[in-house]
Amino acid sequence: MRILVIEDDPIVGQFVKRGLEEQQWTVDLEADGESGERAAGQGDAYDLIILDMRLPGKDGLSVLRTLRSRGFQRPVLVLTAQDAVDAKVQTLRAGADDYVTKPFAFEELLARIEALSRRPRQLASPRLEIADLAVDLDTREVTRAGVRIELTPKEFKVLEYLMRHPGRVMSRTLITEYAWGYHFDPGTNIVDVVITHLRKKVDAAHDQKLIGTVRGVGYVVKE
Amino acid sequence: MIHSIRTRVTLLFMLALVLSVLVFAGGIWTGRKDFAYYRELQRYVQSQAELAIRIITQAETRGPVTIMRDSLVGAKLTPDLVSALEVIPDYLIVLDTAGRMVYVSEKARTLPASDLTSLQESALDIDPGTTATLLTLRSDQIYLSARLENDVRTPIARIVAGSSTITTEALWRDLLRSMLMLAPVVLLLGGTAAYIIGGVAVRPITLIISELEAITDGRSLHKRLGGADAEGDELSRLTSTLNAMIGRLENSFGGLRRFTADASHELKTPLTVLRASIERAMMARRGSNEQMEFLEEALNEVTRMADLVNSLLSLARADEGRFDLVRDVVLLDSILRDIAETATILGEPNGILVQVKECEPLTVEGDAPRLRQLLLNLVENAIKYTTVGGTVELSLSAEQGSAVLTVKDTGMGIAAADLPFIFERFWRADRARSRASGRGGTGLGLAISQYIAQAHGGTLTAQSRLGRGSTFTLTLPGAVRRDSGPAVIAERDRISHSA
Repeated sequence: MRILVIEDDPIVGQFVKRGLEEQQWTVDLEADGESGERAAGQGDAYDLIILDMRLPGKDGLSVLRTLRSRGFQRPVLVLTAQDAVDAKVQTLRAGADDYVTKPFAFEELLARIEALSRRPRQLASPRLEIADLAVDLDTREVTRAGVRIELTPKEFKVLEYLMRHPGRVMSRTLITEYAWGYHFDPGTNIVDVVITHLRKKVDAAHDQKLIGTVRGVGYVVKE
Repeated sequence: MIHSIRTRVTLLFMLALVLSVLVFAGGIWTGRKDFAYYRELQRYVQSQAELAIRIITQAETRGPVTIMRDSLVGAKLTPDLVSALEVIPDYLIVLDTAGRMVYVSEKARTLPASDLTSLQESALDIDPGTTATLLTLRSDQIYLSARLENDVRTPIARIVAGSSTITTEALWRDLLRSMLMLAPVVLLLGGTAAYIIGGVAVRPITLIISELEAITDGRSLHKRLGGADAEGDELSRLTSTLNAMIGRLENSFGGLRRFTADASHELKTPLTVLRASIERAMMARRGSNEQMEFLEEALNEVTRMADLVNSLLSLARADEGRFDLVRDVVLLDSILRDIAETATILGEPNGILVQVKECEPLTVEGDAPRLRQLLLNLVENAIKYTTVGGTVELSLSAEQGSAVLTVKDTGMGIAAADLPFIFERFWRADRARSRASGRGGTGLGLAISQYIAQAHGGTLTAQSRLGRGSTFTLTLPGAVRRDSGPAVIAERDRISHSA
């Protein structure tokens, strides 16, 4: 999948580019409205455009309108700092397919892209597997060594997130954002409690422990 | 209604009318002696006295006037003089040199004995001459005028003529009586007129009020009041003053809106960059655990700051009347079950039991993420302020077409003195009472929660007793019962609450 990112901030632009490239996608980055328009204008070169709303020169909304009037049919995902409902409605009316509000978690951006492109991510097959632990995202069935495990919705969500990034340490903040979309007061150990539950259900009866702890940071699922 | 200007104007006008009638009547009554009629009466009395003295002088030219001794009534004038004096119909008495009444006219004889004595005393007393004296008797009020008889040959010393003012007084009394009888009618007519005039005068103000009432928030500030014409009367001046004021408000609200939009960008762009950098560094999988710990701390701090910025911008918009929502069908029972699981997890380390007491399948039109945020905030607070082994109870029920969600805890409660302030911005319970060891929340949670409730047309209220616990009640109008809910949601949200 080819993605065009039109974002003037180099750090944010590079962050999005690298992150998407990790998903084995081809990503081009343009830093202003005019060059973005030119790059997008050459036929169906891109499957998806990620467009920042505030750009130097021609602003995002005008770029969006121009692209749509030229007959660009593919999805456009808008990055905006405005979270007022009327501003969002305005971008959707101008032809955007979805928006992500700044500052965003990379995971959220990925989820929106995945939804818009209707293509599974590299790792996002409907079935996630680590050793003998399997999570089916469609049926929401979790099994360890073929034995079914009953999880509550939040336990499922946390395990799913860790399983999506096998071997990578996921911090408490990122896990909370993914599973709750809410930032609890500092000192809340909600993730630790859920991990304790998961360990009882997933790891307790097995010699091979799959859920690891990184002190002060978060958790990791690995073989 | 007593508070309407119209009513007050009418009442004041009627009061003024009553006062002027009273002043008018009183003025006429006290000033009546100066009227021409009284002066005429005084002149009449003088002329009567003059006439009487002429009659006597006339009689003297025919010979000296003698006084007869009557055994019954004492001294009296001769019959021919008496009959001559009887042409004067009013009060007339003639006194001899010894001060005795030698003639008393027919009219004077009708007076009671005591009044006649007073009359005799006054007759001796008053100065003869061109003035008339007013004498008040029990039965009458009389103008008196005296003349001296200077002929030494006759025993007559002075004559006193008098005329009653009684009929005149009666006339005045009649006038006053009819005035007082007319007063209620005049008052009623005057009051009605004042009420109508008051209404006419107040109508443009009522118009201005209803026009102003239509300008309620930041969205309607572009409107202006009509009716500011070139006539330049008080009301059109008021209208143009108000219009100028609304214009200034519109400007400052516009400024706030621009500021909000700019601040969104200016504050969120660096946060986005910061967050992107941290996430990239975490993804890089290089570096030590210690570095990862720092990155996690930084990430947590960035998310808190982003939350604070979002909260402040939400409140700024709410102040402007633009706390807008995405409106969709919200499955409240599904949200409540989700919240209940989170509450159970939050309460577990302190052995706090979370129970769902009632959970009716209800939906409302609203903003699901916002309502979820509100309930998470309530639940987080409930757990935070509940002591070890306590209970947090959630319920969702329908009451008169509204959905009623309650979060009840057995925590430390809120002091009655603090209760009115908990929905204010940056309000915090006494730090010592908070179990959380580190820093608490932003202090904006409840303020935003209340705005979310109000933006849904609902209410968020708190009841609490210190040491017994608190109950927060969210009421949302327009609840619809969903009797056969989607099976998928029921399956996904199945939770065991055996904490």
